[in-house]
Amino acid sequence: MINSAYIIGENIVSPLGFTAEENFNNVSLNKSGLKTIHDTSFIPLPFSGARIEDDILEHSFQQLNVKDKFTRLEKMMLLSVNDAVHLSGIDVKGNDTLFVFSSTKGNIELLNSKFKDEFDLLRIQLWRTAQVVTDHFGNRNKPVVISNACISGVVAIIYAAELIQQGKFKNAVVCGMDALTEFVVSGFQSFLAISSKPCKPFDKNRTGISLGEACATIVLSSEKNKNENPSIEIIGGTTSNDANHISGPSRTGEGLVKAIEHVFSKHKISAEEIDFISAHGTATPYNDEMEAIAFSRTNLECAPVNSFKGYYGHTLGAAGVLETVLTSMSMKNNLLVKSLGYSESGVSKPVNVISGNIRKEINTSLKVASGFGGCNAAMILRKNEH
Amino acid sequence: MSTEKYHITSSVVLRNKVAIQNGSTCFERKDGDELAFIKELYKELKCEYPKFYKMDNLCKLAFVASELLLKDRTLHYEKDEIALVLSNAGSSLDTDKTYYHSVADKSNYFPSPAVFVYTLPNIMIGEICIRHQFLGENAFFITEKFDGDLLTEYSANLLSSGKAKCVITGWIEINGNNWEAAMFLVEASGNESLKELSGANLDKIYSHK
Repeated sequence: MINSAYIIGENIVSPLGFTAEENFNNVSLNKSGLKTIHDTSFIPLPFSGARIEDDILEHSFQQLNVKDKFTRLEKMMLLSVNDAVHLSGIDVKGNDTLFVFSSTKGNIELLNSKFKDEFDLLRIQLWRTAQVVTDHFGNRNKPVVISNACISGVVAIIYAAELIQQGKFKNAVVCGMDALTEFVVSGFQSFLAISSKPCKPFDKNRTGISLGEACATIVLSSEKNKNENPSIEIIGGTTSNDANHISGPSRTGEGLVKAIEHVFSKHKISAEEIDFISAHGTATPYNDEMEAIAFSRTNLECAPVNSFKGYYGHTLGAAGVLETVLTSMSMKNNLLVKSLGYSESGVSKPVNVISGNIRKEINTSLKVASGFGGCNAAMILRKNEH
Repeated sequence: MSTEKYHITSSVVLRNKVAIQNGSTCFERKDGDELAFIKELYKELKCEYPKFYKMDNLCKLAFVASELLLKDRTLHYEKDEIALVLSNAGSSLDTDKTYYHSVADKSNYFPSPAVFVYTLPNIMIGEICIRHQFLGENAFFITEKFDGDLLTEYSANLLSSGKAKCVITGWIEINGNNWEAAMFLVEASGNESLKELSGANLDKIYSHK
């Protein structure tokens, strides 16, 4: 490793705002983007979800003055990347800048025949979506796309950070995105995994997930942003597989334990150093229980933990990037944000769920994620004073 | 990109109803479709893994490729030292279309969790991990075409960073009637007679006609 990877620009496009700052302000005020959605084009029944209002998205997109035709998801991507790149001050066209994308379903909406005259069906393929967005910004390097279920965003950040640490690129633009679509809402509903009320991660009365949509972007660089102090550094991360079940987490937390243990040993970090954990916390009975067991097995019972899902719902391939931006903002502001929807523990091991905002110095954070296919990821962020 | 220390210790290519193992044809069928070919190869390999029949086509293809790749091989590594790094162009689009059909037609609305669960490409990795109890690193890349350089770079990085001691990497794609699997076992090996890990070598094995 010859360089460090710093976060030098970040953005979130979501129902809670179109900049990282606006989103973090709303999250600090414990405002949720989740609403009851009565729209049978998703599923026949009302459900709790977080969706960006079309007119607000259109209005913001108009201000970019873009002539070409883009899908709804791509508009979110252009807005998000544009803002993050602007804040970072990098030359986005530079040969030393790489685009990395994470998503589960991308432009899956294009399967609906109503779009068939508007967009080529090839646009549904994630590599194509990535290329269209990368071309828009005039970057000539072939973009990289990671689609690894709900850990996609964390895997993309780990991958980009390592390329920068090895000196292969100076900058990376990591963009995670997924839209709220009939495809995913009906699918999770078929699993009976969707809660009728806003999700309640780690709570005794949790009954399942809420779904959301977002696009989040992080610009990583080997050079710190001179306008920012402190800087947040991505130290590194690891992934693992449960080898247990394709649609349910391990009962013992074994896979997540392995990912956390590996990242700790690789970067010589002890559990006591962790000031904050951004959990996956989907609010399904099994996921939260699995995470609680894994935190207990890795001596993290005392570390303050939250799930941002109560604010945004589960944003799938965007979640890892979205929650890393919020973790980075929490660290810069020294604010542990309340885990929305939590009032009483509903897991079998003690977990220090943040039940109200707390001002506290946060130097080192752990971001974890788990997903279908039995995958897990763990990543370390650290504050770096100039 | 090329690395000196790592070798491609085994390879499998499945295409046009021909199975090629380490450069030589080991199984082929003239009749029947691609699915029939994969099922016959499954029987030939005597896998005895009934869950195979529940998988979607993409996972069936990936599963059989991995069975052939690991046949007669004992991997002397800890289970968490074995990584899976797969890729394709179409993600899970083959099954996505099947699933979407079950919700798009409102007169016959029947979303099935058993189909929905296969609408993620990394489920292939999950199925192979469950079969062999592999607990190591995972990554799934979406690329327009087979990208030997990307798979080489990512695998070599896993090995050199100590995150893995063995990587199963490759490409599994179904596009209509074109089914294609290329899978490679990559290890640190002192055996200089083996092909070294490089993008060019992966491309060459993949392109075997």
